[in-house]
Amino acid sequence: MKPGSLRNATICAILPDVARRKVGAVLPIEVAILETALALRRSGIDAFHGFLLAKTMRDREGARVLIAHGTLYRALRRMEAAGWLESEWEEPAAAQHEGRPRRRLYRVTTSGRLALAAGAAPAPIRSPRVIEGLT
Amino acid sequence: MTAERAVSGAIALTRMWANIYTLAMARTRRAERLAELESDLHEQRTAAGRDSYVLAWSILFRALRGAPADALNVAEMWLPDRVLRRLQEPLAAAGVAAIVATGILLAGLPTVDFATHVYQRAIFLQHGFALWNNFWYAGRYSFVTYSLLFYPLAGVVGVEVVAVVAVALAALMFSVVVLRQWGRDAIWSSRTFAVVWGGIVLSAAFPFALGTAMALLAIWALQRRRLWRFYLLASLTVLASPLAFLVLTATLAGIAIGRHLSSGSSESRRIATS
Repeated sequence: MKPGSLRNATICAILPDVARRKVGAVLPIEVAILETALALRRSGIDAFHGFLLAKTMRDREGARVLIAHGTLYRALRRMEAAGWLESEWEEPAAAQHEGRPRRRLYRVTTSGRLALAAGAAPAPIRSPRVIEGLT
Repeated sequence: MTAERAVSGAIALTRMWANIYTLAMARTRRAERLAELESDLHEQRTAAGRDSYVLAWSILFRALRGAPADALNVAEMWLPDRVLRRLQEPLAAAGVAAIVATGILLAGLPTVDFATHVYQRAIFLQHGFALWNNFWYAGRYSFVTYSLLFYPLAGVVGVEVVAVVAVALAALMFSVVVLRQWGRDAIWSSRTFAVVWGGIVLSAAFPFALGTAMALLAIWALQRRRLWRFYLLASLTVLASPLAFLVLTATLAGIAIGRHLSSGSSESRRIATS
C-alpha cells in the first residue's frame, strides 16, 4: 500500500479502539496534538512529555488555560492505541539526576502524520494574534 | 492559607481524585497513569517558577475539567458502547458532582451537620437501631426522623463515602430523568445541577442527598412505567430520608396536577372546536 493511500477510514477500520468514531474523522483535539507534536519536532524536540505538549498547545493557540489532565491523557492513550503516537518511559537515571519524576515521552509515528494529512481539518486557532491580523 | 499550601493542597486533591478513578484499572495501567500525572504536576510546578494562587487554581481547574474524561475512561471498561453513548452526559454529571463533593470534604470546609452523622453512626454501631436517645438535647428519636438507611451504610463504608456516592448518584439520575423527559434541551440543567448539587455537602444533609437519589431513581422507574420498581424505590426514599419522600410526594403531586390541567384544557379545546 502506498503511504498516501492509507486514509483515516482504513486506519479506523483496522484499529478496533477507534472503530466506533465517524469514519474519516480525526477529532479536533487529536489534530491539535499532532500539529503541536510536529511543530515541536520542527523546533528540534523529537520526543515530548504530557506537560510540554499541554504548554506548547496553550502557547500555539493563545489559550489562557492548559488542557485538562483527563482530556489530554485520554486523547494520548487513544492516539497511541490508534498507532498515531508511540511512547516510552525515559531512563530512571536521567530523572534521578535532575531530581524529578520520570517522564513518559511520546513521538508521532508515520501513521500519525498520515492521519493528520488525510483526515485533518485545520485546527481551530483562537490566537489573539490571528484576530489582530484580521483587524 | 499561603500560596505554597494552596498549591500543595491542589496537588493533593488531584492525586486523590486520580487514585479514586484509577482504582478500577489494571495494575500496570494504573501505575502508569499515576506516574504520568505525577510527572505532569511536577513539571507544571517547576515551570511556574514559584508557587502562587494562580498556579494552585490552574492545577485544580485542570483536574476538574478533566473529570468527565476520567469518568468516561472508567465507564468504558464496564459498559457496552451503546449504553455508554447514552450515559455519557449523566456519567459526566456524576463525575463532576463527585469531584465537587470530594473536594469540599477533603478541603475540610465547615460542613454544618457533619458531627451529627459521625455521632449517629457511632450510636448505630454500638447500639443498633435504638429508638430513643436520651443524650441528645432533652431526648429524641435516634433514627426514625433522620434516616434508617443512611447509618447502616455509613457504618459499613463510612459517612464520607456514602455521602459522595449519594451525591454522584443523584446527579446521575437527575441527568437521566431530565434528558429522558426533555432531550438535549436539558443538558445545561443537568450540568448546572451537577455542580450545585455537589455543594450540598456543605450543609452535610447526607441522608437527604441519599433520599433524593432514591427519589430520582423512583421517578425514573415511573418514567419507564416500572411500577413495582417505583414502589420499591419510593419505600427506599422514605427509609433514606422522610424529607426526601416529602419532596418526592410534592413532585409527583405537581406532575399529576399538571397532567390533569393539561388534559382538562385539551378537553376544553376539543369541545370548543367540535
